[in-house]
Amino acid sequence: MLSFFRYLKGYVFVYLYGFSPERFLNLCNNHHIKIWKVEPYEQGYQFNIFVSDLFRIKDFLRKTKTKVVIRKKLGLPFLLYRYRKRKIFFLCLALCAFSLFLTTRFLWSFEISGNRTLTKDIYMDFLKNENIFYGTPIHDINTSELEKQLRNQYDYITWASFQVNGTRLVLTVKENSGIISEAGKNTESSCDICASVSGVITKMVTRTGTPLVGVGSIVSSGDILISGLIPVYNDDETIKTIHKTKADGDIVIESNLEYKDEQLFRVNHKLYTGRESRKLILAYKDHEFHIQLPEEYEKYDIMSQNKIISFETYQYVPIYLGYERFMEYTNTEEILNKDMALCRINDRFLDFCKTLNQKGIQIIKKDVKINYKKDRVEVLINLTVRQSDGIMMPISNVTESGE
Amino acid sequence: MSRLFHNKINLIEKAKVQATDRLKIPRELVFGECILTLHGNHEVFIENYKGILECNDEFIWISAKELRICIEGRMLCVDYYNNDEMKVIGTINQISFMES
Repeated sequence: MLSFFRYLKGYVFVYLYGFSPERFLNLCNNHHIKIWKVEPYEQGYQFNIFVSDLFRIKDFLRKTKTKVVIRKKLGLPFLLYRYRKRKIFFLCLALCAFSLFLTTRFLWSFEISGNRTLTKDIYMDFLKNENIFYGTPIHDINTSELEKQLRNQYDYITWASFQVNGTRLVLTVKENSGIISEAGKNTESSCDICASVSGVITKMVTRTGTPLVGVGSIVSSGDILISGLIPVYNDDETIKTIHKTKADGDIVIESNLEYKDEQLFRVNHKLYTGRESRKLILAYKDHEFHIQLPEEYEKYDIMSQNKIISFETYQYVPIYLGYERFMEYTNTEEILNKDMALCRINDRFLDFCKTLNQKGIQIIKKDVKINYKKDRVEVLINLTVRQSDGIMMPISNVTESGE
Repeated sequence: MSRLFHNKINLIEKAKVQATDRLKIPRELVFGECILTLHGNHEVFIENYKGILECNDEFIWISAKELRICIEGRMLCVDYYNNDEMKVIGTINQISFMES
């Protein structure tokens, strides 16, 4: 900080030599003339002194029979003097400072915190409806009015606070999750259970709703299995009213699944040589600027990684900075016999079975057909699988009119 | 006569020392003794000094009350100095005192 004030005031770096420079230094000290960075140099000393003090040392120089030589002129007064003719530069500097001041009078970013169920986009839409967006003058923002509006518009917001921090509008909210879950229940209240696969029903237990199919029925994907509409009949068996409920039950469907795989006897492998080079990329939208060119390889894989440069949290700037990795490889050929090829197919099939198992699908039966060709082996497996099925679908108007 | 006067000064000095010790007043306030604060061997702060006697790359002579201080080292330089304090920077090898 001290050096900054020295720079503002302006100082000179001088060389002092002559009969008694030490006496000169002591005289300056006694007369409160500030001197710093005193370095011995040749026959005298070099030091810094303020410009204003330079005119006060004339008597001391005469008294001590010393002379002073200015080596460097440092500080803002000298800088301004040096560039005194560059009027446009100073005009631009002033304009820059003025525009910076002007931009601070507007809103340039938003920060939303505390939201759990309502997304940030919803809040941004609310602000847009209230005519608050990027570039809105800060003095136009009435925070207490905004808080009131937000609470009125969204009942489940129990507390909201708007705060203007510099050029950023900070919104902190507290939401009441209880009311939302209640509302969620109401929307899910009435629905059907439909089949997601085609097959034969082997087991069915209905808890709520009207079953439309039974055990042994053949269903196709999308068919309603349990309806969420419960008709109430009059004595003459005419429909009095229809109650809507959330259909519930357990359904097990047996279906057919086809698994097809093949393996070539000649397999090409990539063998990475370990040589790689990187290329830096600076991109704006779809335009790429290559900062660094990579080494050239005959065969290579490219792995790219880009990062968006964003100055603010909710301000999207389509500038990317990233790099591409060029990894060199050579092709190697492997020749498999029939057993090895089958073994590879078997490995892949076992992985497939594992994923089926994870999804809760049980394999009941499998028919395997192996077909050997000149350059490959093909395998076709017909699987009979058993799985619990049923997906919730909202009751459509067609179903209601049909009933 | 001069012997008597000398004894009188000695007595005053003794009384001063005793009073300073009893009242626990810092000696630099009463006797104007200089204070040297050393930070490693790269900088030294000198308070209550009188003036610079000689300054060189390898040694700096400073006068204090009844003392002359010699700071020896390499690339020595006076960073700043004012009426109260002086800061010397560089590689300090030795500090010696000489009664003036």
